[in-house]
Amino acid sequence: MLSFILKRIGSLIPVCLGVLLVVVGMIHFVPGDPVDIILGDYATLADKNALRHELGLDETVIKQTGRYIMHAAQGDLGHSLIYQKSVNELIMERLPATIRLAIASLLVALLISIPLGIIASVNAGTKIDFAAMSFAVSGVAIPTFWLGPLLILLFAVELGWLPVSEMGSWKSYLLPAFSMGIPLAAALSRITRNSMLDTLKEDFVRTARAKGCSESRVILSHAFRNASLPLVTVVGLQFGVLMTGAIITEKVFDWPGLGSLLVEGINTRDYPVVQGCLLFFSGSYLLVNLLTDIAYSLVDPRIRLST
Amino acid sequence: MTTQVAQSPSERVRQKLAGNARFWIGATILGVTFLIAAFAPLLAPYQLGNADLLERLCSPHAGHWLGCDLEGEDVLSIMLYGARVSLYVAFLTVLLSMTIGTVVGLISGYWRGWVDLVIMRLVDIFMAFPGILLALTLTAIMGPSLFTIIFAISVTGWTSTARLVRGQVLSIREREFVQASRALGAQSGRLIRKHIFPSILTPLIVHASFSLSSVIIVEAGLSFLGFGARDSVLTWGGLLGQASQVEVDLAPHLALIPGAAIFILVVGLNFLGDALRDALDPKS
Repeated sequence: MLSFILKRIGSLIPVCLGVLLVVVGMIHFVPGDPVDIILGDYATLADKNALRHELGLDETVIKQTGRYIMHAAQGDLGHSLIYQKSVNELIMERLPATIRLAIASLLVALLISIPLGIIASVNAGTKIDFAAMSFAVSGVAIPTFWLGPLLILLFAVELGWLPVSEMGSWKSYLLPAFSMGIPLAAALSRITRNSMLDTLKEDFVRTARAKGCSESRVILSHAFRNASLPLVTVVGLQFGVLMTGAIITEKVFDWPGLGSLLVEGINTRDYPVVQGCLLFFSGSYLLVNLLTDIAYSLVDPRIRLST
Repeated sequence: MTTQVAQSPSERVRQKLAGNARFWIGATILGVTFLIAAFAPLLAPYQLGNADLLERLCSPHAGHWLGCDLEGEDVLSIMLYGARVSLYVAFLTVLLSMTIGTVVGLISGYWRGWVDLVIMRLVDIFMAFPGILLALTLTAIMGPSLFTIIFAISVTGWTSTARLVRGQVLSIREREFVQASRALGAQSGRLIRKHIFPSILTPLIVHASFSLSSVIIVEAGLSFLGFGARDSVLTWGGLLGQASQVEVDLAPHLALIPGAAIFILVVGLNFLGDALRDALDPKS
């Protein structure tokens, strides 16, 4: 087990280095001088040189890249040009809102997808199955930037049941969580159904029925327990989707999370913030994937043996 | 005595597609969108560029069936002309990203060894940026234009094709017909061109239809966030971008109409992809 974990961590090192190079390189190799973009056309040469020096852009690319990587490896993501705070501080301020929204969305997705997937699999080939899978196919295609305003118009503007935007009480979580959770629920319900259909054909399910277990016990305790394994992986992989989905959802609902920080950073040309957010998003995505792999290998030892 | 006539693979695919309702729904949606794009100048009630400032953000009424946008342009006309740009961006981006992904995947899967190792690490690096993150940052840094959007989505979108192609090539290069051709002296270029590439076309076609739908959503997402093209007619996503600049209850039609069009087109493409996958899969 330990060798599996070490091997998996080892394979992440070149990827992390590559991610760092892409993040730093984007500023250098993409057309356009960041100083010109930040200060605009009317800044004096002295101002431009001062900012170039402040950003360290007057050094060689190799030196800049090396310095950024050294700092990032120590957890220092630089200093914001606009907020006059460290990027770490800014990320830590905004992170809780994004995580709370991601967890709420995941909860919504699981609460919808698990019962729906189970019901569809038990009634495979019937109208119930068709209805559930129609939701799955169309739900995946619903863009958050459309579902969000739809939910706002219906539940906040027309019915007045929920607040329009901004983080506050538990009620303020409902609309953004549903607008991010519904497309995810659609994808997960399809996976739950397919996994359940495979498991329901297994011998141990037939044995459980033959032993006289009630149908609900066979489905929930025997079949679903085994069918839930693929869900673990997919939920882990969907974490990245939730984190970046937050960029659009946070814009729709005026949510003060990391996604908003990234968009604000881009709009104000605050490159240290943009680089910090990119690194944080991709770093946490890689970490969650690693943890998912480890969790999965704990549950299914064949994963360890095949690597 | 009854004799059973063996069906050719193409006949079987055609028959499977003809009997699949999702194929017809998907094909109809895509076909109608193409027709709208082709005949936009004939169908549009107003020429673009004739904004009426007095009608800014007006709700749908007899004069403007789908209302007006922030500039006072007719939304129906923008939707019709915008279909052209949306489809142009989607098809060109998919063509570009799939070409890059196919070439990279073929090289990686065929030559294996260190070439494969380096390429797959590169793919891992690009895939470490989830969703629209990288495309968003690239578009923002390079400035919002049609070219930038196509470039940014292609640069970040080739990885899934490369992985798919590599996986296919790894298995196909070991098959008997490829080995036999190699034993007869065929060079790598010929093997790839004549044997391997035609064998991976089926999964590539299915992948293309799903890629189209994801490109449409990414482009619209970028436009919604304010990083859409500003050097062309508004795309459907561009209209959504306008919607994000005003309170949602002030001009709900700006968000709902292009959003609904994008949703319908994406559902159609997903249906088409599902149907093609079912029909082209020899195991099904």
